[in-house]
Amino acid sequence: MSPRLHVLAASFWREWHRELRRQAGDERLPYQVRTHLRRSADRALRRSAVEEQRGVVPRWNRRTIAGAAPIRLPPDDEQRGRRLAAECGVVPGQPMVAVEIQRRADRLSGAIDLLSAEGFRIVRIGDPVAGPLRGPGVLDLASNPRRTPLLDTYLLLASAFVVCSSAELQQTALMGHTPSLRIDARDAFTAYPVRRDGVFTLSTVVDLDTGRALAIRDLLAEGYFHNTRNYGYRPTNAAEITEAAREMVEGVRAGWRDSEAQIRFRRAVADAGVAMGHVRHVAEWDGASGFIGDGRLARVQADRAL
Amino acid sequence: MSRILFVMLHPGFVRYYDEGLQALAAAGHDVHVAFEVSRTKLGEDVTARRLAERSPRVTCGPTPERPESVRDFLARGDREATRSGAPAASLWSRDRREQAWESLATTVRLLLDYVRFFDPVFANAAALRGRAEKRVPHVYRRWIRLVAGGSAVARRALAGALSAIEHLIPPNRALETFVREHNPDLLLVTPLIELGSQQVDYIKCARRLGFRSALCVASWDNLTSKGLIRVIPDHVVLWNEAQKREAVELHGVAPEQVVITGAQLFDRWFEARPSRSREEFCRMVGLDPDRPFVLYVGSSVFIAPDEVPFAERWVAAVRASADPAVARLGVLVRPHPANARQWRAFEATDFGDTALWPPIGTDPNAPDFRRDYFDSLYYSAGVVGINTSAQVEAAIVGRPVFTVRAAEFVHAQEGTLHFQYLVGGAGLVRAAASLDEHVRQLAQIADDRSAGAAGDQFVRWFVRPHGIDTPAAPVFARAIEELARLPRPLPRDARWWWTPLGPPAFVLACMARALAEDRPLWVYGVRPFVTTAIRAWALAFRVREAWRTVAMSGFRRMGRGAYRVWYESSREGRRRIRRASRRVAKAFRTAGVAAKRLARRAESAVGRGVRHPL
Repeated sequence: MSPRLHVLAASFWREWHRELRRQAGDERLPYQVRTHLRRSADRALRRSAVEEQRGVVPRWNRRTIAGAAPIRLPPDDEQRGRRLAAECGVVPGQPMVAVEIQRRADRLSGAIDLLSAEGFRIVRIGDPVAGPLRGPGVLDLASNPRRTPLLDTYLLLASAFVVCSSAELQQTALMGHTPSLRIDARDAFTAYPVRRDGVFTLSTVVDLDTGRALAIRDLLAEGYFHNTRNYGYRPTNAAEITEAAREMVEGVRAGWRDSEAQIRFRRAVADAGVAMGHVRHVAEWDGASGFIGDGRLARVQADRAL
Repeated sequence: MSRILFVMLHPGFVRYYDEGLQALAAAGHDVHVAFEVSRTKLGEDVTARRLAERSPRVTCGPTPERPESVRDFLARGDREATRSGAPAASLWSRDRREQAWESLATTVRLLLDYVRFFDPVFANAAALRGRAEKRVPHVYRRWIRLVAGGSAVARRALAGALSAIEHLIPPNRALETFVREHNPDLLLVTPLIELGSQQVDYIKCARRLGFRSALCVASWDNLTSKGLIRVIPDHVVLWNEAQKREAVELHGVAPEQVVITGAQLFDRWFEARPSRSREEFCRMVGLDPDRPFVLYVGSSVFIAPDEVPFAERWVAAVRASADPAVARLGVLVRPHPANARQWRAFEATDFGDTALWPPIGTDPNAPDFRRDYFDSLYYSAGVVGINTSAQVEAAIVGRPVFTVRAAEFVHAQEGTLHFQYLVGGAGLVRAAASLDEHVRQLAQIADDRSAGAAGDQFVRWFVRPHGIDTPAAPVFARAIEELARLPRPLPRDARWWWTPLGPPAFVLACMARALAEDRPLWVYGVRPFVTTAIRAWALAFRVREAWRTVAMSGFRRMGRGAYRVWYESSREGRRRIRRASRRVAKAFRTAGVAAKRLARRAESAVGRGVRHPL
């Protein structure tokens, strides 16, 4: 049965549940009949939940993507992209880090100093909404009128690695086998990198009712996914971004190694995914198959995660 | 002296009129304030209680309960809900009839409100249109989009048809009794323009019973961002010429029905004085008293549902300014009281000399709340916000006001008409297209604190049209007094041709009630069969139960009889056996005694040598 049919079935059973509940509310009916109707309605609701779960189509298949060949731009597009990049000031051959940020660009100042000191050219792509990116070796193309999707993609694929806060860019980098550092992720299942060359950091999640900041382990519990509107997000702080950038540089240059804490966290996410297979969000991001990815939570956060 | 009945949606509206109502009470008028909904979210009930405590001539109370409130209507149509909906009452019960009429009324009003946002004036107001659409049951949406989104003629025809249906809906009897019992010289209603508002019924009751009625426009965005005045009251009391134009052009109010009083709710800001020194205030909120500070005023949920990321970018831009005077400005963030929760995610300590005040969860009715707010406006060097009435208050206090046009707030800036008053011709706000431009604007106030004079013209035009030194509350009270003194209008009875249209309208009402559940259409198709099946089942169940009862009672009676027969017969038998055995025993005993006697006689005869007689 196709997922679409499961969705329709879920809708049918849900409506059937509501109809039976509605009928059960009729006080003129005998008590036993109403009780029976309520039980049937509950069964219909359970069935709806099962169908809904079956109707979830994962956005991707982590195992397939982990072994996929890298995508490349067609030669013509690549050439055009290179030409555009050169016109915008990108020096061919110079090691480059693509940066995309959606919330407060000023947090990257420490990371920019570090990357610049390591000899990287920092090229800012994506939306300029987070404000200008300043620092040594920075080429801010976000508000450059010549910026096109092709240029963004070329720069992304040509970079030594990418620092981004959007899931889309992280996934594009993954498809092109460009190492990525995803910052400000809101949960581990969305952001966990599939490939070994991926690192991510989590936002600080705040319970808006109490003001309490959730621990990272709380983000692996089912309760977190019940009502995400009840949470606010503080972006990853500058110090952690800088540490994560340092880890990226080490990984790109000396190979990727996991700390004990990172291995433990990966196992915890995979186990939590299997346990929460019925949670729509987890299923959507293919977090329930037991394989979450070979990437890692940034060391600086993993040390305090579990 | 006059009797005034003021119907408010909830006690939160008291704050817009408390000074005007006190002035009316002081002039000897009796004012009864009736609330349709009780609301305690931001301590609104406290405001109402305080108002009633201030004068014995002001009383507060609830309006009669409605068979179905707008909230009930919307809750019934919630597709995500798993609850059952209301149990089906008998079609002929009074409750059911009244609920059906209420459903039709709410449906028609929500549709009218939705249709209004297809007017070219609201071409940019996609968010307002979306908000109105969300409240309309799904089944109508496509048709409304098709018709209202077409030509102006079609839109007008549709609105006309809906208005005609509105006039056919009979007013609620409980409301009529309520209004008649109060016998007011003037019936006031606010806000009336909430999406699907049921306050229309009060206007209809007043017209029918011959009471004078007036709408009091509570706030500056009421006539442009919400619903229509569907039934025009005798008068509309509003703030200024701009609102008069809105009432006439967008709602069809006749210019002679409009009374301009100014914005009475802002009077307190003209008279207020700071409650403490600047140093004390800065220390209390955690800012450096030696530096000027900018006040960021938060906006409401609709305007800025996700305001924190923007505010963070804004503070970062201020801190990153090339002008050291701007970069060193203190920043005080003041969340909107009804949208404060999201600010728990704001980390003021990240930026230095930045504070959030008052703390989240502070009671907005606390005595210090308004005083602190005034102090924060008064001591600030400038005020920044997205789109909020706090910007008007800042202009009254004489502070320069700023805004930044941001992509995430297009719906609330370009997409609302009232924002144009802030940034338009006589506008008081300096709008910037980007944070860079905004930071450059801030550089001016860092140098010159007297830059607030630009707002005076706006305040004169928008807040106090009767003169900058003429408080609006007394003007409002005088206007109400004069309206209450006018002779009562003649009752407008139902038209004769409404009678034959009543039954078809009731059918429409029943349909509206069913469709308000907002279920997929197949459910309505299946429902009669399901209902019949369940009723048949219930009937069969009842028959079976009845038979069981009768049959079981027969069996029981027979069983009991048999037992009784058995019990009694066995008892009798035992008695007889006992008797017989007693007789037998007695006979044996008698025989024994006789035998013994004979034996004794025989022994004595042998002893005397007498031959045995036997």
